Amino acid sequence: MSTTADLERLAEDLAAEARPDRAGTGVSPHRTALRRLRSDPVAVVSGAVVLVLVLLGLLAPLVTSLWGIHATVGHPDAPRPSEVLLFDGYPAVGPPYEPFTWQHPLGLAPRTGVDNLATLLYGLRTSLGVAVVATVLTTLVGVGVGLVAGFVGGRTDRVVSFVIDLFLSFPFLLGALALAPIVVSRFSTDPDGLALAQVVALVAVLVTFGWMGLARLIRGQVLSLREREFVQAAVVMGLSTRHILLKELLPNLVAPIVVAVSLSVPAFVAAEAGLSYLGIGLTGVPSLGQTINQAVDSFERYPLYLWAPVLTVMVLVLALNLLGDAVRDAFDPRTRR
Amino acid sequence: MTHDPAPPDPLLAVRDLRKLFPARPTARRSRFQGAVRAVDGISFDLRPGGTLGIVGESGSGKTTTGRLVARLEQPTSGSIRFAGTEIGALSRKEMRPLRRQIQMVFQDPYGSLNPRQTVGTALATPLRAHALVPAGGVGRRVREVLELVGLDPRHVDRYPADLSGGQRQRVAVARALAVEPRLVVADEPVSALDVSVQAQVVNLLQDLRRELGVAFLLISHDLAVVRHFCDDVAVMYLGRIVETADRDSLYTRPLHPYTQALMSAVPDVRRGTSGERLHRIRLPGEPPSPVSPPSGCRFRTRCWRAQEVCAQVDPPLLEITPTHRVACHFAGEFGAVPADREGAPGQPG
Ligand SMILES: Nc1ncnc2c1ncn2[C@@H]1O[C@H](COP(=O)(O)OP(=O)(O)OP(=O)(O)O)[C@@H](O)[C@H]1O
Ligand SMILES: [Mg+2]
Repeated sequence: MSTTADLERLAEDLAAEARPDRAGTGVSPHRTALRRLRSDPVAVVSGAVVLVLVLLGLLAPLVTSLWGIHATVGHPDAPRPSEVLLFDGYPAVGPPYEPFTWQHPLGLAPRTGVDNLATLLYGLRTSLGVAVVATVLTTLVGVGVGLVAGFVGGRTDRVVSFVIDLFLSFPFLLGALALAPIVVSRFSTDPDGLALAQVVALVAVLVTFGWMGLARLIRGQVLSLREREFVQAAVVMGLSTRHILLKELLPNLVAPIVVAVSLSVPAFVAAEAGLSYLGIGLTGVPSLGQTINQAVDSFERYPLYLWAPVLTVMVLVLALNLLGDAVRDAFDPRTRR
Repeated sequence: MTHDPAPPDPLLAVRDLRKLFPARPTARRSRFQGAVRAVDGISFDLRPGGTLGIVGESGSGKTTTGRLVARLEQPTSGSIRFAGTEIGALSRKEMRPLRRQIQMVFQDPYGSLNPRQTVGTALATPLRAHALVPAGGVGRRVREVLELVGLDPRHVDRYPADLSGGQRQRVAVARALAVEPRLVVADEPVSALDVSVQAQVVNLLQDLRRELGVAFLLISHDLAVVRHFCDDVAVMYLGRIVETADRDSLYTRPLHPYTQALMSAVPDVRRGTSGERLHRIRLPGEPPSPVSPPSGCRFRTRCWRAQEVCAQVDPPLLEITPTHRVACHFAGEFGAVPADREGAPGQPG
């Protein structure tokens, strides 16, 4: 008996040695992933860029008021368009005709005379806000639907899978194109209501066509987790379905959810810009895509007007994507290249 | 197990239990293609505090039997009475209040613990869910249970990845017993462990069973483990019980050719028997598919004693002694069978 006890102790020691970073420390696997993320230079740099852009967006009202610039036409403190615009609609100060001025680093918008930096900051705020809200909602819907379909199975699963296929086959752009004029005509007499309705409609469109990927992913994961013995053990324990979904399954899905979230934020930023550029996104509040849309017409004479928002979108999306890739590598080392 | 005239009320009484799985689970809409007859009409009893071992080759339906009893699987037909309640047809919801009384220990200690939960959480969750101890006493009870299974109470903060296989299986045992069940279904509880650790876990189960008076349904392909642990044994082949007896009777005098073959493959067990059957019986081929089992006796395709009658008549499970029953047309020829039973097998039913 003593020899077998010794053997077991030896086996345990060996097993402990095989995991030097984990042995006996009680460190949760997610903490290890975060540690891995912090030591990845790409993650750190792209994370810093994202942080700066997010802060700029969040603090847009503060920054603009400190700078003394305004993002809306007809702001009481803002100079009247006739004071800052030439007869051809281009600004009388700053680019494209006059030299750089610190008062308006990115110049003024033609025809409206609104400060471009202010528009950019508020646009950043809108784009990030829309992307974050859309991501939160798609994650809730996708995870919820995937969990239930995968765990309940049977007919529920078949119906849900069919609905997922249905939504995937419906042309996203067509839905957005059809919705935009309806919203515009419904709120044509109420500009404030229109701005809000456009944001809501945009988020709704993004969510409606954005939840399926995650739902499908989670469903697949749950289907395989469901057969794992610890889930069966929870059933035998008599734990409630709610408990099994939220306490047994969900913690094992953190990695795919984090990865999906980190990749969907840049996708939504790009989608918002694209839709607004096409004129079916936001018109009532500043947004990056909408600025790009307006700047295209005067690109020949006033390239900076276009480049500023285009580069901002590119940097934002690139940084978010790099960060997302780093997160995926940290949480799921098996897919590491 | 037995057919005593007045047996004590069994804790578990299984009658004519069947579980058919669709043979082609992918083809949803195609017409019925046949079924895997994983468990095909089995009956057995288990008294309170008793131990029944189920042995048999891979694919004989042992795991399915255990999962049916634990109601992880819905029976196709037949009855499962647990403590006087028919649980075979209960819905998920109806089953929940009874769940605590039937627990399960799984084969794979790496899969049966949630990798994202500490040992303490894994043990406290069922205690809280069933309100077995006042909220303030959960922590103390968790440490108690850990000590009961021979683990250091400081392990509460560990994750499964920090534990060895043997330690994990002890946690799994602790979790099953923490809710004070009346029956534990243990499906190959030690076969995934190192040989050196197996004996310890079996001994632990043995001690706990004596101490707590829990009934065990022990599923194993390891005849030595079953012999060590179980009072009664049922031998399964292709979804059927072909022989069932008390331990001593089965191991010293196996009557079914299949049981004899199983025993002959285990050196330990062979040595323990009376000495005549020392030679190894090799069964030809693989077990037939459970989708279309052979006519008559299911074992006949691999049986060295098979005769014509075996292909035509399915032998019923007949009583040889009050504690020993076997489903073979020729069992009587090898055992001390009462004369009046000799004609019974072979009658076309
Ligand atoms: N969910 C399922 N769907 C379809 N067939 C199944 C399912 N579960 C089990 N089976 C089939 O039922 C039969 C009995 O399987 P079971 O797992 O009960 O055998 P076992 O005796 O436990 O074998 P092992 O010793 O390999 O664990 C096998 O043929 C198996 O393929
Ligand atoms: Mg099995």
